[in-house]
Amino acid sequence: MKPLKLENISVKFDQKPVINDVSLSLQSGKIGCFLGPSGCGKTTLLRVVAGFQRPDAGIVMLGGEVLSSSTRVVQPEHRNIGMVFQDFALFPHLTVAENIKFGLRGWSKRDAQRRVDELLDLVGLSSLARSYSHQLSGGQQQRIALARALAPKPDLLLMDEPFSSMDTELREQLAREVRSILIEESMSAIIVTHDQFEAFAMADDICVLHEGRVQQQANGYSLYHEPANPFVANFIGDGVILDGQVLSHNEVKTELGFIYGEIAPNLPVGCPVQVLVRPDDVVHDDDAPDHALVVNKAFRGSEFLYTLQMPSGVRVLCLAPSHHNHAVGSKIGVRLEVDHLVVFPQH
Amino acid sequence: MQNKWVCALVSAVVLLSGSAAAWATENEVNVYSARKEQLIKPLLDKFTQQTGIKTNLITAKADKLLTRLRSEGRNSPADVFITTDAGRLYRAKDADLLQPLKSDVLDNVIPQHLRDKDGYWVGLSQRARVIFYVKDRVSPDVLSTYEDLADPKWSKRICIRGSGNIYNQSLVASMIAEHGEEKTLAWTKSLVKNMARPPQGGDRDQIMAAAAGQCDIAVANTYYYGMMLSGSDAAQKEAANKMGLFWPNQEGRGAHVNVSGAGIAKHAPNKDNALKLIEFLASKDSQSWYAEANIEYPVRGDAEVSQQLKSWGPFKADHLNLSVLGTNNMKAVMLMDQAGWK
Amino acid sequence: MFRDRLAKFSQMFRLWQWLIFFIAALFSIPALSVFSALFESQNAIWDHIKQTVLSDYLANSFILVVGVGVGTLLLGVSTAWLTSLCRFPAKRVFSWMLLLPMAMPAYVIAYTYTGLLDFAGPVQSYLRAVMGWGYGDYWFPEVRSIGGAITMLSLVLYPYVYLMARAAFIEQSICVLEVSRTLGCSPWQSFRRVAVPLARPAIVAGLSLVLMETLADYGTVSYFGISVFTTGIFRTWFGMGDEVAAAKLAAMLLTFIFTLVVLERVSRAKAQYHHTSTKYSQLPEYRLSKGRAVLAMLVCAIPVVLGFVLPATILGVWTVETYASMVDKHFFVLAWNSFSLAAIAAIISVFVALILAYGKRLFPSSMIKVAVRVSGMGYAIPGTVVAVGVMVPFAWLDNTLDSYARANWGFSTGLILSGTAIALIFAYVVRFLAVSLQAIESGLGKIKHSMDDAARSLGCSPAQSLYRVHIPLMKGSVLTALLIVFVDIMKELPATLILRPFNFNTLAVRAFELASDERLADASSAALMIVVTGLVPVLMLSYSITFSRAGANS
Repeated sequence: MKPLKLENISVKFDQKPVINDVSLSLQSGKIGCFLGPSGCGKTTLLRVVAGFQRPDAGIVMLGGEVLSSSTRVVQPEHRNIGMVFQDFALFPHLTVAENIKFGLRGWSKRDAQRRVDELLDLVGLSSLARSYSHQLSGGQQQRIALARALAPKPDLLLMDEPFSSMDTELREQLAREVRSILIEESMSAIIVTHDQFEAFAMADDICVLHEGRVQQQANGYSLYHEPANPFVANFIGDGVILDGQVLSHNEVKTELGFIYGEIAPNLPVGCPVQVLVRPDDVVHDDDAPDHALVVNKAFRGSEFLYTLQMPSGVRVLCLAPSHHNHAVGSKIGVRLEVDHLVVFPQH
Repeated sequence: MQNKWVCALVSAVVLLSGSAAAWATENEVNVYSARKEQLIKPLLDKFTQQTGIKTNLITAKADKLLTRLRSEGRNSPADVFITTDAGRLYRAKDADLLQPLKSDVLDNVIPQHLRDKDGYWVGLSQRARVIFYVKDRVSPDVLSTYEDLADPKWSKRICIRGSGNIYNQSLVASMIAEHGEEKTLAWTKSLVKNMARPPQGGDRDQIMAAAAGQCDIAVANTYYYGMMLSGSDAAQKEAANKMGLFWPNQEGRGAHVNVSGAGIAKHAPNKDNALKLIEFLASKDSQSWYAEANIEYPVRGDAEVSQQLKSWGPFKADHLNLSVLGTNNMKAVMLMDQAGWK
Repeated sequence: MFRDRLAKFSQMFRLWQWLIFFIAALFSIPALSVFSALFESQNAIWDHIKQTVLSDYLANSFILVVGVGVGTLLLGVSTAWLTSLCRFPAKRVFSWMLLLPMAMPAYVIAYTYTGLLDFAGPVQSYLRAVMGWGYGDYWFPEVRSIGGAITMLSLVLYPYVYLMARAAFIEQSICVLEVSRTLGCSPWQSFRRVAVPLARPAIVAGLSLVLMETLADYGTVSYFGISVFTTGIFRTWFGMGDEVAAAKLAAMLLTFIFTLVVLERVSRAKAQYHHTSTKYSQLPEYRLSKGRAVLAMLVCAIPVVLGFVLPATILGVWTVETYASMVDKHFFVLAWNSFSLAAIAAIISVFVALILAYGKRLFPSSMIKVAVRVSGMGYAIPGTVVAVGVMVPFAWLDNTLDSYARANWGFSTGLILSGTAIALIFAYVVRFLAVSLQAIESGLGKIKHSMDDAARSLGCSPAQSLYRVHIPLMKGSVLTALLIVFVDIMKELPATLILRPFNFNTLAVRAFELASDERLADASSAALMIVVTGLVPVLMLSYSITFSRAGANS
């Protein structure tokens, strides 16, 4: 396995920058993810890695070998990088087994057959070896596409929105399955998705992209609890951002009261800031002194997600166990219980 | 698999091209003929039988053969160039594509007006363009000359094919030679007014249309009429039987004739064989074959002709030197355009 | 090692692009060698043409194009719709029989109908005999007229529209049609408002082939005595010996065609005609009531009977009459010549079309697009013009080489390419490349780009993925291209006449020589043989389109 490294990648379409000076790296054997809303450039970046897109500037390196630069591009067929496509792109004129065998040119017949059997076994579809792609369900096609991409033992596997055409339940199940398959094959991989839960389920290392720039690269936990900027804070998880003011090196004042936690040293006392408040930071407590108006509520099985309006007019989200059932329009007691203080400077 | 295809293609192309590569080495003669295969191949076969000289043939329209001859230049494989009209032979000579024929045999048997004045080509058969009339409706007494076809009495009564046809172009060219451009234009305009229908079809169609009642007289070459009479098609035979043949301008210059003829290509690789072939085509036997097979008039008086030709009687032919048809051809076409002859 | 690999690959990419430019340059030689005459000075003949016949050429060509366009659209689209989406008796039979007229050369159908319907022909003679009429007593449509030419050309050319339109209808996603029904469209309305607009690019592709074929037609119009551009070009070039004026006419003809193509592109503007969904299911069939079913059968039967059954029968009758004298062992040599030439040229033409179309997919730059368009231009140029355009530069090349050899090596190389089958095959490929290109491009267009990417990511070079993925996926289109070009070449006449080697005849040449000698009956056996030989690929074609449909089991 080889580590992947992107340095200062830029791509323009018709003079319009789509990828803007992106640098990132992925350790070998890890599963990475490009996460972002549609149009953020994540698929383009993936195509740069795959070699389908020539970068206007920057370098792509895999295991110390330069694959792409603005002047030279190793063709996709010579990168030894596998790819699973959004629409799977299974070859309709070939059977499942033939699809998997497609990339095994140069292998001996016996080795190729063994590899095909091995992969069919791995994805649990040995019985479908002779079927054609249009006879398979979406989930089966997905797994065959994965098997086909894994067959030639690539140095890196790319997956473009691999679960976007599945329903939620199947999506989660497949994501787990695929992850375990990748780990079993000890494969470095990058998936592209707009779905953070998919990213959390699959990836060790998530790279949030917005407007062609890397916003933050971290694991899921850090992204949620330590977002690097308001975009990441908004994009990952629910929450609202409140105005506040730094009172000391570990205290901020907001409309909901004082919040304690570590504050970066570049934010001096008295500086106006933005404070991220997650729904789980707002705790419903009948005894609390502050009350808020229930504006909206969404039932989520074990919990309710309330939208509450504070007396000042600011709205926040609050997660409450579902036995706390309050009607829209009623007032309930709330207090803040912030474990991770996230503060951004005000602009 | 891919390679196999490529191999097959390459070898096929090589095979196809190889077939054309080896000329001038054997005892043979190469013929570019505007006469159709059916009307020349039997004679060529007979020539090969008699002399052992192999003949190679391509047929196409004379103009296209001319273009081919010209573009091939000094490497052209062509030995003999055969056309079905004098105009194209003139054009070939004019474009410096022919060489003079030096043959006492030909000089002796072919009358002077049917040969090029500088000896670049000879006529091999005569084709007369005459008037046919519906026997039931028209008395031959009212027919006289080509000039008379412009008379208002023929209004909407004449069938004649389009102006793209070389025989009509030659006829008009001969009128220009006789009367000058101005008078010929007037004649052409009146002729167009007298047409029963817009020009269409070939010569046989004119005779068919007249016989069926669409018009009263038709202008056509004699051999088409002869073929209709002797052919296997019952309807054509019936139509031709209704028609009479009239030789125009017998009191004056004579009926308009054109020739099919031949010349030797300037860069002929088998010049001697070419001359042998043309002499063979002018021989008594070959001349009779022309008369027999295509009902054309031989160029030599001593050739045996068919009963049918005999039945049409002797006629006086226009002795205008045929080179003139060539020089006047373009003027003729422009003039027909001006007159609105489609 | 990495550098080597890189160098090799960018080299291959460059090679492919250069190959496309080379082909475009090579294939534009015939047209250029004709049009080079344009730059010569003004001449008197051109003025003469302008004053006398040009307005005729313009008007007649225009009427012919519009007439054949409307005729083929009516016949082609209506039958395509009926056979793809309606249910009526004998529908399956009609769906392949509607292709049969494709095997019928336009000049042959013109001969047969003239023989049949002419004033002196059996039909009118019979009418006169029975009714006691004479000339002028009754009205009968004139076969040899511009209306006749429109009818003849429409009858043999509509299958191009039918083929493309039917394929498009069949491939339309059922969802779109059902959506239109739920939005309140009747079947007729959804045909008019959804199906036809969606199929428009395909219909236009078919129509543009038809129009180019119409404008390049010489056999029919000259036989009917109609002055159009092609007859004008011949007359000026060969009758007056003036290449400059002829080139001007040919240039006008091309401008005409170019305008048509641009007009269509502009009117289509930016509307998208992609397939909107990848879900296909068995197409719904509108079950027709009894009266309508009869009407549908009639609509499908008319083009089949008039475009094929009737003329083929006439040819058959004539053949029986003249069989003994016309069919001998030479006849089968002719048939073999026709067949092998057409097969070789069709294979080459498809091969070249694959290089161009796939190259355009790989490098969709405007330069490449233009180069590919230029390569297919020969279809709009009359066969004789292409032939002369091939002959002159080939002979020039041969002679230049020969002069060089004589001067430097002291021997003559003679004519290497001129007068060989290579020149002839080259002319065929130049002339018919547009047809194979059209079919291959539409086949490639249906393959999603993710297929290319998938193949590349699995280690295939572009050429390998063409061979392993694209060709298998569009084998229907490849077959269609092969077959249509094959049939076209079987029928081809002018280039064959002028470029063929010694002692080399084809069926088309034989049929034409006899027919132009006004021996229609004698020409019939060769003509019938063309039709029969052409029938085999046409039947294969109809088989392949009936059984290849997206979503159907392979």
